[in-house]
Amino acid sequence: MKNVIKVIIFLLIMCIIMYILSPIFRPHWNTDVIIQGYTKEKSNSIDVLFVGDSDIYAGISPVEIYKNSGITSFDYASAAATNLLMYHMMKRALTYQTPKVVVMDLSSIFGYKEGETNTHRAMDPTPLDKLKLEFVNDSGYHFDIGNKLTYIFPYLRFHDRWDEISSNDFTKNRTKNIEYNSLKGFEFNTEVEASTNGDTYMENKDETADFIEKALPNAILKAKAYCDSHNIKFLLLAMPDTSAWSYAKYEKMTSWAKENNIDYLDTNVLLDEIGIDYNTDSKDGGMHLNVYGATKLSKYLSNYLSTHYELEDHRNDSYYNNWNEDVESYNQLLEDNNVSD
Amino acid sequence: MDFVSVNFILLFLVSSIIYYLFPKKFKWIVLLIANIIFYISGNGFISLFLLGSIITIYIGGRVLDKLESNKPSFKDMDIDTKKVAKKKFKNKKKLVLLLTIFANLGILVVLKYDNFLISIFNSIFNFNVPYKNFILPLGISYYTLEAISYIADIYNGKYKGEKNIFKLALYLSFFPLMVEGPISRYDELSVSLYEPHEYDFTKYKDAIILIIWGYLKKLVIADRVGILVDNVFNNNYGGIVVILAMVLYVVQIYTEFSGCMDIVTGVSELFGIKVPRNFNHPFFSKSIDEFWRRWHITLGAWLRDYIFYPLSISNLNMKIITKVSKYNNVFSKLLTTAYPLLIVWLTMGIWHGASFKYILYGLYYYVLMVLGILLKPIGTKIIEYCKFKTNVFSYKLFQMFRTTLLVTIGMTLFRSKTFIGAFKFMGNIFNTSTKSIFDMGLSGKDYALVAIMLVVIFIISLLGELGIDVRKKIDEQNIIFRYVIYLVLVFSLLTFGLYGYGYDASSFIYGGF
Repeated sequence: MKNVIKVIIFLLIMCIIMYILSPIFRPHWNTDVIIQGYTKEKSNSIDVLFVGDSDIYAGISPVEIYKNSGITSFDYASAAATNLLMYHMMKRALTYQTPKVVVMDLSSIFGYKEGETNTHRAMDPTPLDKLKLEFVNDSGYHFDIGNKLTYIFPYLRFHDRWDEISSNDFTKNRTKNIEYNSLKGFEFNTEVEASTNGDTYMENKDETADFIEKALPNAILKAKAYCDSHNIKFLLLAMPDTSAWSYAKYEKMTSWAKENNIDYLDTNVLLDEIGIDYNTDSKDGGMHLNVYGATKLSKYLSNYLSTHYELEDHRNDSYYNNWNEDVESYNQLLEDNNVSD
Repeated sequence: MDFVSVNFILLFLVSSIIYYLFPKKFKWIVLLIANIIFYISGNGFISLFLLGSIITIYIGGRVLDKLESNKPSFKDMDIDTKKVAKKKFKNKKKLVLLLTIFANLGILVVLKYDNFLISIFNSIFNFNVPYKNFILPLGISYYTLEAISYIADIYNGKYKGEKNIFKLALYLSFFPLMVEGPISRYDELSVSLYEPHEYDFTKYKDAIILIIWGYLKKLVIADRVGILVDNVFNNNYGGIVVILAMVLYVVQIYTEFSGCMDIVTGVSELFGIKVPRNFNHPFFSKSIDEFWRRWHITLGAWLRDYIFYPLSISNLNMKIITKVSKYNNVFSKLLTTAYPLLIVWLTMGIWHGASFKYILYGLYYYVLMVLGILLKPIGTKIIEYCKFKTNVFSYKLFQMFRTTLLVTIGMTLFRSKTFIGAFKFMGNIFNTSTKSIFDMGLSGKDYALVAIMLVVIFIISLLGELGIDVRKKIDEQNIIFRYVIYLVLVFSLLTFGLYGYGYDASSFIYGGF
């Protein structure tokens, strides 16, 4: 019995050390700024949660939406996240806020596999708790024990950064050192790279599209069911993307969403209405919007959310004074970068 | 199943726990099941070759036992009849022995040496026989030697064959030994394998420490220096990086192979099983002869017992001995062992791989041995003339340095793609260096880490050489000190080891044989 206790104590010490080392060894990502920054929002202050990948944080400016309609939102997003990862991200985000609407991005469902590092980006900045264990045991990921352990103790994944560790690593990932995110997860980018197929990518109406694997549409259904059980509206959103979208995908999603009773908004068929011009509104040839495109889309979404959901205008509510300050600094940022409103 | 995988770690931990929970009578069955899981998970239907070896040596062993038990009584025969009967009996046994050996060796030759033989055949006869692409069953070079030693020992009357085919299967397929050996002997290993062992916390803990130490050597040092070694051997660099690559290859192969042996020994010790030692601090060797008694010990012992000794007393060698015995000089002494030694080193070379490079690698050591014997009188005269003291540390240091240098050259032959290529590679030392040592894939911190680890290994080896059991010494210390040592070991492995995403740490150099 004494020996069993010794072993348990030793293993506990090991776990504690790995837990302490994890935030030191893992890199500092933009998702720390987004995900940990999100936890600094006042409680019960976010009305709309945008969950997704880089399309979201490049293409939707929550401060712009607030400016136009007083609706508060946040871009809870991580690069290259699939809908499976977004489901877990959403659940995590909903432990801090109770929004009235969740808007989930759609991009991976027909195409790419989530890179291992991208999964770590979204999950490692979050605490080790029941939700994380639920993610680690999600059968959609087929994690083996080794992989599972790297999410419980990211130190095991990023141990090879040992030769890069500096004094900064001991503090960079601590939540108390992450600043309040005045852009609400939005990544302000003024680069312009025109798309070569902006006018034609939605023209081909002869192709068909199908999901690459069941886990992803199933994750959307789970997310919808979770929102329904918590009285949260759920909207599926296809962001403008000339490289990954097509008319076939629009048709597939439209019919699938209808079959499953899910509200669906495809911005790729509303480009004129939104005012998107792929000569000026993308930072990388049509994959992601820049601040110019994001401004237009955010205004459109501001209008869409106001007319489709019962959301309050908080512009005169003193509880949301910090948002008004955020608008001022955002306007200054626009001015400093010669971006017209 | 790879040694460097969570599945392997789970296998040995879970099976060792189950082993101690099982009743004494059936503990060996737990080991057999672990063997099956390990082997089939990595080899699939190719496991049938191992099964074939088990069946052939089982049948061979039982037939030899049967022949021996039905041995005719030669007592009442006249001399001529006795002579014929004895010869007939011996020939029967020999036939069984040879058939069993050929069955096992045949499988190994076809699967491992087929393309080598085809290339020779095509070159000599100008044919165009197509090459094959057989997948080698894991451990075939190791378990085939074990199979041959088993049947040869039964033939020589060392012990009787195992009656239980499942127990024999356990011996031949004992899972920790399947990747890189050691090459065990049935009479030594079986006792430990079949006998039930009681759980002992200290021994179990010490086994875990040894396993961690083995992984440290493999993942922190061997795989790390392997980055530079691969880079330099695969490119045409010159100067100091070539010397560095030669030295670090020796470091790589030693830490990987001995690290694997630590893992094997540790995993076996988890079950209370003792496996033969395969390394005995080889770089303290003062001669090539001594080196091969300290490096890959079980292969050397196998070659000695099943090739060297039988050939030494063969008719051909006895004729040679008879002819040279009247002379008493260094050449006559050499000739009494030249022929069996040649076969030993040729076999050693070819065992490592199916190419002329490996044969020449074996012959390199043969030439060194021969030169050692021939030059010994000259060496003795030089020492006497210069009045060198030979029982002092400085002389022993010189001997160790000389041996290590010769081994380094040998390992360079082993690592290079071809024998001639090895000499071209070494010739590049005299070219102007085209790359800095910090452009080879290793940073200054990597070099520092390797240096520190090598110092630690040296200290532990030195303690071992002085007869100090380091694990036992740690066990004697107070708990906090022990915990600190264990935590340093574990976290050194977890932090500095080249494992996880982006690394292919599972391949072992000697696992390819």
